[in-house]
Amino acid sequence: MEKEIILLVEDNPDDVDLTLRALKKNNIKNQVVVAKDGVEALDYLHGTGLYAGRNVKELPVVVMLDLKLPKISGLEVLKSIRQGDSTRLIPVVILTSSAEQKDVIEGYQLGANSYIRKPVDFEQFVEAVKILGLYWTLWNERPSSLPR
Amino acid sequence: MKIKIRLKLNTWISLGALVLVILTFAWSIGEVNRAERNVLLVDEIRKASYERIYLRDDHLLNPNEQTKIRWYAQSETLRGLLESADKRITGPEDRILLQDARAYFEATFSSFSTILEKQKEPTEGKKLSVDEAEPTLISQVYRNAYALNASIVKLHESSRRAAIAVRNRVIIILILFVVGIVIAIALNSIFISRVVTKRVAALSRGVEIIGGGNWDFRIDERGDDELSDLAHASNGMILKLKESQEFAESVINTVREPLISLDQDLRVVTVSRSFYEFFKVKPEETVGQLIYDLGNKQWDIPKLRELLETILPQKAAFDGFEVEHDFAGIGRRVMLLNARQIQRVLGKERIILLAIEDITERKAIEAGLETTRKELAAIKIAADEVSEFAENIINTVREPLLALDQDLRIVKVSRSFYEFFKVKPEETVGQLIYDLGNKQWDIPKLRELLETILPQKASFKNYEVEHDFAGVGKRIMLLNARQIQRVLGKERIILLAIEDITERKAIEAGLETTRKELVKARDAAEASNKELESFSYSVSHDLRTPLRSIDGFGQALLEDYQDKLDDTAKSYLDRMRKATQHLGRLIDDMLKLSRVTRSSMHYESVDLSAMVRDISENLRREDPARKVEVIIREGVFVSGDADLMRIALENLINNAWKFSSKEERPQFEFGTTVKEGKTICFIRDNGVGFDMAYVDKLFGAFQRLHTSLEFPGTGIGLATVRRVINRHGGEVWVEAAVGKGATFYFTIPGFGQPDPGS
Repeated sequence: MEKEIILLVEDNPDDVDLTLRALKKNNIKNQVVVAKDGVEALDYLHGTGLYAGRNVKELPVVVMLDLKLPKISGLEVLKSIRQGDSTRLIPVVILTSSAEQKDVIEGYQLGANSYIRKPVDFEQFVEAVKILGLYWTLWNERPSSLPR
Repeated sequence: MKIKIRLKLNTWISLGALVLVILTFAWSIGEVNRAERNVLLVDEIRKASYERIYLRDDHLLNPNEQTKIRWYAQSETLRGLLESADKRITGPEDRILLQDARAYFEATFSSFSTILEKQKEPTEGKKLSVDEAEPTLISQVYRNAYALNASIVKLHESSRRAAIAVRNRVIIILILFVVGIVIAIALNSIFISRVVTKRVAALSRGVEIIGGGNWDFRIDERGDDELSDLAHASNGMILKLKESQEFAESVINTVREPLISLDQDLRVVTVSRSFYEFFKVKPEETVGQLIYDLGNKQWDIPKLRELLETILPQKAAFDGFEVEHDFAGIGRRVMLLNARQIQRVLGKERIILLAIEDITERKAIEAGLETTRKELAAIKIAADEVSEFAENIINTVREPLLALDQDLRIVKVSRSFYEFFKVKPEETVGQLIYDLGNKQWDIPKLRELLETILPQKASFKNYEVEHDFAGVGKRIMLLNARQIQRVLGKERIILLAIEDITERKAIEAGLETTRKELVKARDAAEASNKELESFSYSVSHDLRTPLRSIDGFGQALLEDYQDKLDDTAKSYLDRMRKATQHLGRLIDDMLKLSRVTRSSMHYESVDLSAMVRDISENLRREDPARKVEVIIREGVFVSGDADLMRIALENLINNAWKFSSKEERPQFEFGTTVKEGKTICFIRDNGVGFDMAYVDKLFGAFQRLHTSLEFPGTGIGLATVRRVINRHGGEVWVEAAVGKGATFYFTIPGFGQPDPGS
């Protein structure tokens, strides 16, 4: 089992399935943890709530973050990640339907590593996920030890 | 007696003498002639007498009748001659002699007549006897004849003598006359010359004395001739000269500025009193000195030397030479020197008049004055301008303006006042303001303003007075007043401006309503804009999500259940996915259009050429199989929003690409032209073009001129282009024809010079 986890923050089950399908189609075999809203995502990262007791030192290689989320919005999640000592170096890729400039700019300002708009065309989506997954899981060099 | 008269007299005497001499000469000739005629007459008498004696004697010897007749005739001739002599001879002795001769003639005549009578008695043939009484008678005849002859001879001699005497007398008289005249003329001439010489000498001496400088000498004026007149005139002239000399001297001594006169050796001749006072020198150390030696050589100034020794001999005068010098006793001074060289009339030498003016203070004052003058001129100009300006303002301002004196009587009224209140100048100026136009201005509020508030505060502002004015109706007037102290006069004037704000008030009320409505509308617009924004957001996010699901699972179905689906099912799924993707594009385009409308503009210099190149490169990459000839004009810059311009260009270029896709040799061109001074960009393709009849529909949203089968599209692109160009304040239009391609033109105000920095 791959240790390197992808955290997918996505409330729409269709999108979750399609994303997982796209990853699978591209032979990206990393473990994918799906958080259905912002709260869940943060619980996972901080080992709280649903994920209480989780070893928080195991950080995901990349967080794929939707913006439009119930409870806590994607941008708030991003902000929280960047503010947390243990989480601030985690690569975060915004994967969303919105291409609003406002969101793009704010996303990058808050420290997103990438911003990808989900295409309607599934083939294009698969292509995007492929590139994304390969890049962040294989090619990207991470800091060896994360500061506490 | 005048010399002229004397000279005339000389001439007259000469002429008179000449006439006298001529008369005397004529008379003398007459006298001489008369004397000589007497001599001839007496000579004739003598000859006649001798002839008679011959006849007597002849008869006595041979008595005949013939001799007797001849004797009688001769006697008668002699008597006649004697009688004419008696008339002409005047001398007393001659007259006695003539009387004697006549008496002897008569005696002889009677005696011989008697003899002749006696001889008649004897008969003829008988010899006449002369005896008897005859001898006595004959002797008587002889005696008397002898006496007669003697008298005549005496008379002859006497007449000759008389003639000679007359001649001599005439000569003497003539000589005496000539001599007398010559003496008279000579005497007169001598007298004249003596008088003239003496008097001229006196005159000349007098003039010489005066010329020598003795202006008090008077030439002797006695006499009544021309020379005394001349002497009198000379004296008068000298008096005048003396007066002018005295005047000149007093001028020299009176003038404030120091004046000195120098001789030709530049020695001081005379000095004005002011010179002594000014330079603190004394006459005894000044007159006769060389000017350069004056007062410890303080006048030994190179400039003065040059003036006196070089310039003056050449030009005879110099004026206004300024000399700045440090004078002993009075310090550093600026002196103004004026000099004249004068040729003395009587003497040979020249003198130099030198006037010295101390202009030190004057220079200082002049400098100050000039400044003051300029300032004054500037102030005057300003004042004139202000005054004119004020006058113009009064007559130009639209609102009626009144100037009142301190008794609130009208002094001046602007044209607009007359026009507005329909009054005439003659019923306005000089009136009390309250009495104007049937006392329509007698308003308590105005009284209060003018009589209570103005004296306290000197002005009031924007007092509204509502009043029913005769002629103009019920009006709201805005009153502004200012109390002004007149600069030149003592009195105060009050400027009162009256503005009719009736309409303005109404408009203001209307405006306020409109403003409120506008605010409301703006608020509504803002709200709807916000709504639209969140709507767009929702659309972009929420509408696309299900589409993605449809498309994604449709694809999954096709992939995972490939063997269980027949071709029709696969085709349906395919069409579903296509429709989904089209809807996705529609949503995207709508979002773009809405973004183009809402987003704020950030102007910068945009390199359109580079942008076009970039977009067409992208298109080429997307479809490398297509060979499109691309012509791009380089260096087209515009000031605009880069994002929006890119959206517009993408749409236009996409269109060009798309609609030329069926050509064999597709062409695409980006370029510019200039029309009416404006730069116009165009994007041209040689594609299918379109019918210009539908051009109006072209830029509307969701309007398409081709089917999706022919050319895919959402119908939003050109609407977006137009909105982008409109937001830049520009225009976009198109020229096309079916089968001949289309050219899209656009121009925006931001076209400028190429920006090399960008």
